[in-house]
Amino acid sequence: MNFLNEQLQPGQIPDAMQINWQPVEKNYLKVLRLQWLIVSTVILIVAVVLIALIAEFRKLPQLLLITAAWLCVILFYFFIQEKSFRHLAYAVREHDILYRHGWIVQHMIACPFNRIQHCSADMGPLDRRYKLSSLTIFTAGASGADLRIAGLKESDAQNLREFIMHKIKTDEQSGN
Amino acid sequence: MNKAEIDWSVSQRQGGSALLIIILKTIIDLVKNIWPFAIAILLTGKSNRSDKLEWFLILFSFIVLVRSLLEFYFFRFQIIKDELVIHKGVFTKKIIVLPLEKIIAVHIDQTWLHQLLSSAKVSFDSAGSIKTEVVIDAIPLTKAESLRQFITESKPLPGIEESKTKVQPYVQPIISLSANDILKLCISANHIEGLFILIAFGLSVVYNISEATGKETTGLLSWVYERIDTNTVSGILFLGFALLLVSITVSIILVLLRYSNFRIVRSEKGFSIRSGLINTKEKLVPFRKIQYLSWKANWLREKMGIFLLHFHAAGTLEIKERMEVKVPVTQKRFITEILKDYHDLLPVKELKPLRVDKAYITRNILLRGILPSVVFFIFFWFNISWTASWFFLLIPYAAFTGWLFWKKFRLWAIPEALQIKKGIFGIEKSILIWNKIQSVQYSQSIFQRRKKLATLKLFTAGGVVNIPYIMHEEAMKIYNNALFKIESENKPWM
Repeated sequence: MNFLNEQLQPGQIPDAMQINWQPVEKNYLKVLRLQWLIVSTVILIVAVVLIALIAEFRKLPQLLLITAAWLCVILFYFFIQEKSFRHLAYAVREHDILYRHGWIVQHMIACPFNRIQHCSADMGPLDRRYKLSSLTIFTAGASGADLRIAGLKESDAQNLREFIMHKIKTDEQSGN
Repeated sequence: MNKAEIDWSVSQRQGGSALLIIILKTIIDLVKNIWPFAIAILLTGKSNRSDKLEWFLILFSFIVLVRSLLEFYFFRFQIIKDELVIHKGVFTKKIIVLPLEKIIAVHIDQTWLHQLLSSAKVSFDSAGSIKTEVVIDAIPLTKAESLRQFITESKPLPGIEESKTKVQPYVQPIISLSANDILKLCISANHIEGLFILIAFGLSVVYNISEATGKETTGLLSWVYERIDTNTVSGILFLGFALLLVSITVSIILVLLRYSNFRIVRSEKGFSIRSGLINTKEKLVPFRKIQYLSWKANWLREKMGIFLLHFHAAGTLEIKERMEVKVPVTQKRFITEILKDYHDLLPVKELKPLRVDKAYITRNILLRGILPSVVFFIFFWFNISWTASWFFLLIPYAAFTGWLFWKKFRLWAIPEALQIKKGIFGIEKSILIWNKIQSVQYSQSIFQRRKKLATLKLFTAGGVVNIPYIMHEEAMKIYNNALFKIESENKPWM
């Protein structure tokens, strides 16, 4: 057998920065906003219960402080969510799948197909309302190595899952 | 016993010695669970204490004997059609079927009782994610070795091609510790850890007695406190000296228990590691399971040239914990010997290292210095006023530790592997073959984006390798290269 070990120039290694990113569905922003609304309401209910139970909190300065804190938290959460959404995107290449997320800290995670153990598509109650789905890709890697792409169209998530599973199977058979 | 004569397809019971070991195990289990109640029964009421004690002992012995006999009687194991089948359970019958191909490691452990009875405990690690329950408490040692040999030889290891030029197994162990090595380890052990273990043990005993008797048990502590005059220099010195002596003694005992009889033997499929003074443990770490290796030392150990080597193995958390072996490396050649089966050390003198950017120090000062000191200062200011300003000492500490990290960090890479050196007060080195990487993460905070820096995380099945605060271009090179190596080469990662 001829052993080949051709030298590759730096330019020949595919660059992950030169990628056409595919943004997630716009409807996912609605899901995120609904999530924000639910979380904000829950925090508000907790604050109201605390105010009702603890007499100390019913004084004007404390009430103002609690209201200001609540507003700060939910507005900051809303702002971060809106900013993060613009950065959410994924890309499928011949040999791997990439996902970028986050705004304060921007992450770009790549998962080669030949390292994927299995993948699943799931829908939460809010996702169902907008016919969206999340695709989770599991590797054998340590905690944090798995990849979860939220905000995909239900059919896209299913197709992507099928594609990945088929890809893993054919790659295993062909020995690639 | 002739190993070849054992027919594993025939249902087998554990050895006769197992009964004794099961009895001891049952006693320990029961004592662990009921000792506070037993003390409570004995301490409450003075009139018929001896009657209570007699009844308690009779009942206890009866429960122990019946439970042990039933456990022994209903436990059977055999190998049918490449599957290890274990029947166990008295009231809830349990059949455990473990395909031999799923077994990734067979461990043989010997406690002092096992050694006395020439038997061993055999446990199996499987590739599945469920908790491993497959343990044979006691079979004769020769039989245990034979079973391990049968299992490891009967199944082909997935993902490993049969090598034509087989490495001859070493007759001599590749690592064995001399008395001098043990002494070095004792001196350089983490004595503070020993002290904390002792304090935690003492507190748990006091708490349990207190719970069971319902009585205040702080009397003893108060008695000790009253006798030590902590207001005088001699009192403080005495207390400090006593604590130091106790912690050193505890850590020396721990080192002796852990590393006496320590040896590593290389077999064809992995490292066989044997250790322990009273409880002897033997573990097999298969080569293919090792994802990356690291070795580290605290400041003192670094000066003495002693490192603790860590195999980062693939598997579930439980398997990782079982394979967690800290190998004391008292001679430099030990590292070279162990790395032979993974990847040789990189020729670092010939390579240009990649370094962490100086901005890491600024980040450390901000996140680990200024931020926590301001928070602590505000939080404690109401109680201790200006004394809380001591928290600002965190700032120079963060600056110093950040500077040390920046100064020590080096990354060298060649087409097959990368090697990292890092540390703050001590030192840690690690080596990773590109092919063992599972996924790669590139991250940039707002601060890093401004400075054109990035942090990389290389995820493996044995843990994460973190490369913080390197130049964006360098990070992208590593990111792209890692993906290229994984995707272009068809080498199994396990």
